[in-house]
Amino acid sequence: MSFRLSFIARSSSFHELDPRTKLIIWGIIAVPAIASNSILACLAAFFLTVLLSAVGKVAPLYVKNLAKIVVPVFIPIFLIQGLFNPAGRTPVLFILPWLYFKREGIVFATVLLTRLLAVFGGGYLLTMTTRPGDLMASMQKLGLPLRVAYPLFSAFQIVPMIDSRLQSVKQAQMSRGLQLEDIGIVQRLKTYVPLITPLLMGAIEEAYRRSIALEARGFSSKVKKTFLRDVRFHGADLGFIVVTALTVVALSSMIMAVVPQPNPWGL
Amino acid sequence: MAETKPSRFKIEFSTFGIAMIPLMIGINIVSSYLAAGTPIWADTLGSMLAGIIIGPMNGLVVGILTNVFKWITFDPFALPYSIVNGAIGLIAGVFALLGFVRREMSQAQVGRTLIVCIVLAIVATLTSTPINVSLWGGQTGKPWVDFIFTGFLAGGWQIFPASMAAEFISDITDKIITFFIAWLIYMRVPAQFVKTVRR
Repeated sequence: MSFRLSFIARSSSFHELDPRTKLIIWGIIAVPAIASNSILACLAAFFLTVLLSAVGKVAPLYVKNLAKIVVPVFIPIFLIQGLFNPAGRTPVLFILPWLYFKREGIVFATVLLTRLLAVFGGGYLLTMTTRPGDLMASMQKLGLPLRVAYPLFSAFQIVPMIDSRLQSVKQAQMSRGLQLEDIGIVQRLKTYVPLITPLLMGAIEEAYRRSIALEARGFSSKVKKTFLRDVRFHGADLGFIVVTALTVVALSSMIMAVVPQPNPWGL
Repeated sequence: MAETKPSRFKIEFSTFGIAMIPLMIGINIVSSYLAAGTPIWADTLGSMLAGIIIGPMNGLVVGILTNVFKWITFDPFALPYSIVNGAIGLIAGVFALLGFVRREMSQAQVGRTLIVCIVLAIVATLTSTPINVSLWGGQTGKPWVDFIFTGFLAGGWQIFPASMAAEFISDITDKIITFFIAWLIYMRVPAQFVKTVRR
């Protein structure tokens, strides 16, 4: 099962930032990308996230992982939008006399791709450079109740556990004659019930045990909770926010000044 | 065998209800993992079960947190879809409270289950189409659904209606299969376990 954290442990000034700062930086970068239809503005915003990932010493992985998700999806998007986008008028590249790529569709797909990278890049950077525990602590400081933060945080231990239980259930059911390999789609869907039912019953028992363990540690207690690792604003946080905001303003106004808006290629 | 309806339409915030949430998130994740290679997603099975067994608000929380979890771990684009997954858990729970999901094998119950499936498919379509259109230009990521979407576009449809129609076709398939699985599992869980949850 492909389950691993986005978080990459490095010692960098970006990792040390308060997660709330990274949230603000994400917002600052995403705003121009959402607000404008300019490919260049979105590219500039994405470039900024790559720069920040370089500060966080995760740039190669950051670019590689985003590409791994985005490229397979965007090849069909370019094909479908380029050929069939209803707004398409201007022919760019002919495949058949009646089937050709149109400029409007290609521009639409490119704006979509660059905007997606700019908007989600900042969020991915946040999860890549933030220990999940710190993210939870800062979310609680922003007002997320413990009763929502705890289940999310504990899912990091529980999901791999559920997965390993699924493997045991699979083996147990196979030893009873349930066929799980080399079967058709309908047969595979039928195996859901014998596989998930024991998993669910195990989950109910486990939840019962966990609730006792939690109560023994004062989970429902009304007193203010403390954190093992505390997150705080420092001078560096303010510095990062100011520098990012200034860069975004400078880049956006530069693009607006140089490239006339709107233009046929959506630049 | 008619059963007593659970009486609460509020989040089951007992420590037990809270402890169930990460486990149901796990069921969502392994379920979508089991569905790889089939035409369906099945990534809302845990939310549906949480909605039915624990309560609508817990279904909502399980759905939302599943996608937040995916966002933090392996899928940077999962966050917006938390609304879709949450809505499925919530609506499945509401219908369970209304008595649409009972632990009995009868024709009437199969009919009721089918009604819930259709409602869930409509809810999923209405919530996910705007996200699909604004993020991916209307595509969904399942090749057979994108094929239908392309067909509608080639037929002269606009992006939004084409995406919505393709999404509905895929959602009705996904929700009928997934919710029937959820209901079958719910029936097979011994009553004593369900009582533990609703104690």
